[in-house]
Amino acid sequence: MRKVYDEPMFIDLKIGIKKKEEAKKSLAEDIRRLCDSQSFAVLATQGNGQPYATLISFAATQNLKYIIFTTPKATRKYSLIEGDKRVSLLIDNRSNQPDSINQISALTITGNARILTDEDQEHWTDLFMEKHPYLSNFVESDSTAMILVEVVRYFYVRKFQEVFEWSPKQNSSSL
Amino acid sequence: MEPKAKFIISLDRAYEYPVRLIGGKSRNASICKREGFLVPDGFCISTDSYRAFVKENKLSANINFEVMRKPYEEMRWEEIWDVALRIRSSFIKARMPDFLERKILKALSKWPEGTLLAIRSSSPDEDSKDYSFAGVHESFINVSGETEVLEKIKLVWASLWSDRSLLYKKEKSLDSIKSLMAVLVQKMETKDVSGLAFSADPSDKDKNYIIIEAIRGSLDLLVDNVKSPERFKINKKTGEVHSSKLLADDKLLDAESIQMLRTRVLEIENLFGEPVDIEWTGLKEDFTVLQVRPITIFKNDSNMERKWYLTLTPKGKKLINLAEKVENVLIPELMKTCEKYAELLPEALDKETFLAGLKDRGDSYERWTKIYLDEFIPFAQGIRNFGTFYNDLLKPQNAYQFVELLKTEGHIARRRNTEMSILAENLNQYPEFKRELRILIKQNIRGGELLKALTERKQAKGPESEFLLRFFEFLNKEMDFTYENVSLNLAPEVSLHVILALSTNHEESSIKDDLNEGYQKEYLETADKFRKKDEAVQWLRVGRVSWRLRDDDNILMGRLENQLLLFMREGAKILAIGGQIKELPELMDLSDWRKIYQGLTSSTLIKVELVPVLKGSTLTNPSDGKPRQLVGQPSSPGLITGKARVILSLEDFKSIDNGEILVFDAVQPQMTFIIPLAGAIVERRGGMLVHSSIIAREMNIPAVNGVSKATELIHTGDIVTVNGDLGIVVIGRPEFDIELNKSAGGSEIGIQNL
Repeated sequence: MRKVYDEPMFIDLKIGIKKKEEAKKSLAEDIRRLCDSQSFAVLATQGNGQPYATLISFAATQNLKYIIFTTPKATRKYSLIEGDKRVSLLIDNRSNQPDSINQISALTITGNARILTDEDQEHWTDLFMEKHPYLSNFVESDSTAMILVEVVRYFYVRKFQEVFEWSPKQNSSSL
Repeated sequence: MEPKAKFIISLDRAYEYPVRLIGGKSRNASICKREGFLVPDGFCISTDSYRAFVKENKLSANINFEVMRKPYEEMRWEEIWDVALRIRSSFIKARMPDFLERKILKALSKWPEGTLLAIRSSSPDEDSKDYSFAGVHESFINVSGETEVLEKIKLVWASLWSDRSLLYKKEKSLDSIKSLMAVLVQKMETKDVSGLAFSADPSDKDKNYIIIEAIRGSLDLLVDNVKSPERFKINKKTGEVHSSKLLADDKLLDAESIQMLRTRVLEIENLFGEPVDIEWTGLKEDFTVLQVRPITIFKNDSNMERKWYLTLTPKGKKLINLAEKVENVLIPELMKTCEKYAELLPEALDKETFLAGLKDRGDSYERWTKIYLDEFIPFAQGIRNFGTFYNDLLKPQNAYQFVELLKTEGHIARRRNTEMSILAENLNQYPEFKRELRILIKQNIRGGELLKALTERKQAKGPESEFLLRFFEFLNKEMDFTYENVSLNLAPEVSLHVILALSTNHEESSIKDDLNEGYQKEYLETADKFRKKDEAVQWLRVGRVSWRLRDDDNILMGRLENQLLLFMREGAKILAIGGQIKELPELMDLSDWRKIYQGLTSSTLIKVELVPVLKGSTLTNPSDGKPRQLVGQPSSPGLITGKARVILSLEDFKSIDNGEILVFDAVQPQMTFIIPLAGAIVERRGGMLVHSSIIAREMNIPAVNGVSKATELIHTGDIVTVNGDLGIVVIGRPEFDIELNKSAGGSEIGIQNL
């Protein structure tokens, strides 16, 4: 119930100017949009208590259950994943402009990584190549591995400090 | 910045430059000068200078951060003011770039020291054909001395981000981020007679008439409504004086002067090709143009809203007069009205007296609602005015330090809460009775039944009757108001619950006693140093009255509503008996009092339909995600973790445990009596001047407000950490067990779903 003395916001009094509220976006859509808009992510791996961060090219499935990326086998991140599959990823849209701090969105992702066999890989190559066609040589090379991360949680940060958590539903389809 | 930045431009040549560089006011003045009108000597500090200042101090990050914090639609005016205050504060603290300071001082050096100057805003959007920012940005007159001039230039720049400007830009959908501001510095010129002139009548859109207003002496006396002018309406073509009003003390304009002014006004209108509004000084050959702008008032300015927010900022003498009126006339009158009404119970009256009583209360309610909108809300400006004065004087790191000086002891809410605290302490002397009370409340004995039980108990004159006596007095005096259509003096279970909860964990009253004499001393001493002590004392006083009334007026309005509601209920009962309404509504809309009155006075037993009022609201979680950290603004400092209690309706009041974190959509002043139970406060409505901020600061309870969807995203029982220093609310504890469990689950990850 509206109290008369509950001072109205100016906007409420305005006739015909108030914008229609944008169609409500779900958090999942916000997350998906951010994943689709970005090509790169920071991958954090660990070994013997030593964290290790690297930049990767990634792709996410539509249902956001999985993140996929590729790496040469002879790398530190590859061997660290072999040792401990718990990883974290950071995806964000920052532009190195301090002015834009309120417009930045970022995702911190926790999940479990698995190195795919050649067989498994076939299911995922299209998804990855669609986003990163210029990496075809790299992906097809024998020395390159494809890593699948099953996402446990997304931590979605926007407007500098606002944080939401989201987990992909376990029962939805894989892509 | 453009390749060839131009920082200072003489008024003699300003018209050669684009308006984006010099702003509308400089451009218009410069054009008049070019055409041979007398215009006070001056120069323009261009928008390039503004850019250099903003760049050097990295202010745009700050501006963006503040302006983009939250969609305007989700902000109330208090929050918009907060945004403006913080930006203004950052401008005051920012440094003028050295090269720019040198350039400005060099430009100033053409006048002898001590010359009085006008420092005027000259926005590129202002004074153009489409927008009139008249009165939205700041201008200063009678400024002298280098330091003062430099300070005022910064303030004019900052007024690009004033609340009025932000709202106006929003209204006109102007891109606020890209806004620029130029400044026009001019020598003050005051001849014998000054005035305003409109080349078309702005009040009735009549373009056949010119309006001229004149006063003796300086124009600001007219602009600030200190002096009343002599006013003429003149036929544009014939020069015939259509009407004249001598509001001034003496006659200023003779026939010759009037015709001279008409000719000049028409020349200027002709120059700009549209109706203009001119500020002028001097007659005949002394006629000097101070300012010219297009009249935009009759260009679709039907927004009542804009006018209303402009009334929110009474200034100077007007504000002092308003303070006098509110404090000494309106509030005492409202209190007296409430007390008078409380003496008459509707049940015991004959029909005639009852009807007269209902009408009296209804009319009174409508009258006071109007006064509330027209006088009480604008009076909140007293706080803002003091805040601005304080910040200009002391330039404190914390833009809200001034609030410390406003705390006084007179708040009704504070008095009420102190009384509850005393009652709680008192109750602890009768543990047996306290247990009984608890059982009564648990059994859900409430309203009239509970009142009856308590009255009987009081009359039995046991040891606890002392407590009950005091409690009844408290109910009638302090709880005579409505919340959610429930008369709280008739629902003793609500306040008893709070008193019981307070008594369980009774601590000494947490209200801070020291009224921050340190701040006050520093404030007055600094003011004295700048010879502004009288002003400082005045604005502090007005600020304190304003601060106190910000709460009190609402509580008194609630009391008035309660008295109307009691009569409406009785009236509705009679209507129901006579079959004029179908069933007695549980909740009533106060504006329906007239329908009830008409139903009762009609001879034909007309049917009355009352507007159904919905109780509380059941909200569902709209988001599929789990909120982890929400951002609002810090409204009272402190850090605390506790269990959340979401307050959606009166029913929720009765389940509050002492120390819980109370989550509100909007805290009404009537409900602040439950605040003593709060460990912290989270609120959707935002602003430093909203009621919860005021009471939380008074009681040193951490609070964050302006949290969008607070009552939807936080659930009762959630563990919540409220950071009242940073304005952050964290929900839940940081646990990583899900990740750990998954990992322990071995290699079986989702591949089998392929």
